Amino acid sequence: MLKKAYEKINSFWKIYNKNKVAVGGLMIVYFFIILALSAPIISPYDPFKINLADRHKPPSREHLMGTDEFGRDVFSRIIWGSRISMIIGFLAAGISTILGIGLGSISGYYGGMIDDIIMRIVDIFMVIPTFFLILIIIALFGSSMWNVMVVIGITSWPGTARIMRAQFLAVREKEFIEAAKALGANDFKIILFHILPNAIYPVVVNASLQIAGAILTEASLSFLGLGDPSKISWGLMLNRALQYMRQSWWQTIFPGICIFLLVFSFNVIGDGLNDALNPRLRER
Amino acid sequence: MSSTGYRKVPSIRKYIVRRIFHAVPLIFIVIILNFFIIQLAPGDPAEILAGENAPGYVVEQIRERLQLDRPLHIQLFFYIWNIIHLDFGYSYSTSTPVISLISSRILATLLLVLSSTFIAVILGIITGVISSKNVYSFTDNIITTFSLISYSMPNFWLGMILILILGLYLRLLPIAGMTTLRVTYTGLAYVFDIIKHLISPALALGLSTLAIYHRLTRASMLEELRKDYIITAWAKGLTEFQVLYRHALRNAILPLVTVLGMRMGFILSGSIIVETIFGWPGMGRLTFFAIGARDYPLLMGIFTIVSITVIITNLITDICYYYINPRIRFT
Repeated sequence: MLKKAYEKINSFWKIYNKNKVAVGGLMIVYFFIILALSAPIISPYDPFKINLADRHKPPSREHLMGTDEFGRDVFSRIIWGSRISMIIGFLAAGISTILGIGLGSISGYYGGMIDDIIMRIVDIFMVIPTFFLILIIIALFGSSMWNVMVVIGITSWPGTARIMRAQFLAVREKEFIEAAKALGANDFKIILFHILPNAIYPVVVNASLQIAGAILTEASLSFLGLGDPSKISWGLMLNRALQYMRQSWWQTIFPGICIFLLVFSFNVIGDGLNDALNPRLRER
Repeated sequence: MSSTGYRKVPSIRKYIVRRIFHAVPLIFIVIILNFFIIQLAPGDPAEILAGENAPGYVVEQIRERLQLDRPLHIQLFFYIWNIIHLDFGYSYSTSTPVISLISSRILATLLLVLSSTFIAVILGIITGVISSKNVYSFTDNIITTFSLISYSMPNFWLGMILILILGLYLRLLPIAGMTTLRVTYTGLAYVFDIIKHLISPALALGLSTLAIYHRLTRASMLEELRKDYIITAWAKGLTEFQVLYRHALRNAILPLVTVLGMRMGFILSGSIIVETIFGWPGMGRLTFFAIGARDYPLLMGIFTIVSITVIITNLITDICYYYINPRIRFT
């Protein structure tokens, strides 16, 4: 059993490894995860400490990325800011992926009325500009980190549900499902243990893109002043930087590079996963 | 087409009517969604719509005007009734009707959104065709890498970089607004002035769409270029331009049309941020203002209008798809 799993991972990694950009993306993500976890240890200054004597200092040996309009160390703030991006990225994508898998599999497995209802909801989400919807909900319900996360999660599942449903429709008709049914497996077992493992790969790929999207949405919300005001966020740093572009370019450049790198990494990881998991590509 | 005689072709008019029947309920759903968001929000709907620190008589006025003390379904009916009559309520932070605020801004946004979409689509298709012509060549690698990077670029950061480089450092382009203040241009000079102000925001708004179009065109062209009719076209001795753009692209362009409708929501969302950064006097900046002032009637009005715009864009792209793709008419 263990050996089989090991072999599987090995063959997966062999193909993933061919896509060098995706490997680079994975390394960047590792780097940011370590950064986020060890923020209290490695950040050189207190990210909240105001030092008005050191306002708008350019990058130097004391302040690697300069200081902002309150003399706070930009480098330390970036390290702490990686936390919120990571938490929201992973958890919001997690919520939307779980919702998408659940609703998509029910829709694809049962078909009929349930399928119709779920797919109409998906259609509605596809034409509504979701970002506006998120803005309104956050503005009305408050912009705590949990709210931001949950709202991003519950507005971005329809894509996943659609993919999941299409996969279920394809796998449902296979012989081994019929065999499982003949052996007396119930619906729950068939969905969870027989169809899902054979249908999940595009959802895994999509989850990586969902993380990238969630990080970008969180940054945009913070940039518009709708982020959690008690947390340091790269988007919020850019919001402040907008007013001081003439004085200090470093306030603009560094948080933006971080957002870009993280989003870019999750996007290319999605590409790499697609290469390694797509059975059609693997046969070649 | 109708002379082929395979089957009676359903008329375009029927098709359009059918699509409209799909679109109208969606508009109502958006309005109902709006209604329930206010109802579910913490606090009294009338107080939310009247704004913070509103005097009691204003709250009462709103409660009466929107029938907020009546049962829910009657409230909903009045809500829809008002919106059908283009009454989105009053924006309390500016004390003007929401609809007049929106209509004074909508043209600027349309100019920005349409021009950036246009640039993105045209450039995306051209670069996509160039990429597909020599796959994995040096040019293709450069373009593909560039498109991968621009797809992940947050539009607000891109906008700020453009301001830093083009506006503040090189001093090539103006950094804010739609026209130059203090100078009144007329005629052609006025148009050029607007174009000069339009370049950077349009770029910031359109770059990710350009990347998507490049990727799609490349993939779709690669599919087409493998087919037999392309070999025939080459064998006939047609020029490269004729084979690529006249034969292959015509078929490869089909999936691109549907994507345009889906992108519209993203582009309009992006306009909130881009307009805020560049001080573009459109609906996006109005949204930013409404968020800051917690002006919910204004925010809801904008959401409704934007959703309707997206639904109509989807309707138009569906109809275009019907025109471009003769195959759909026989199914």
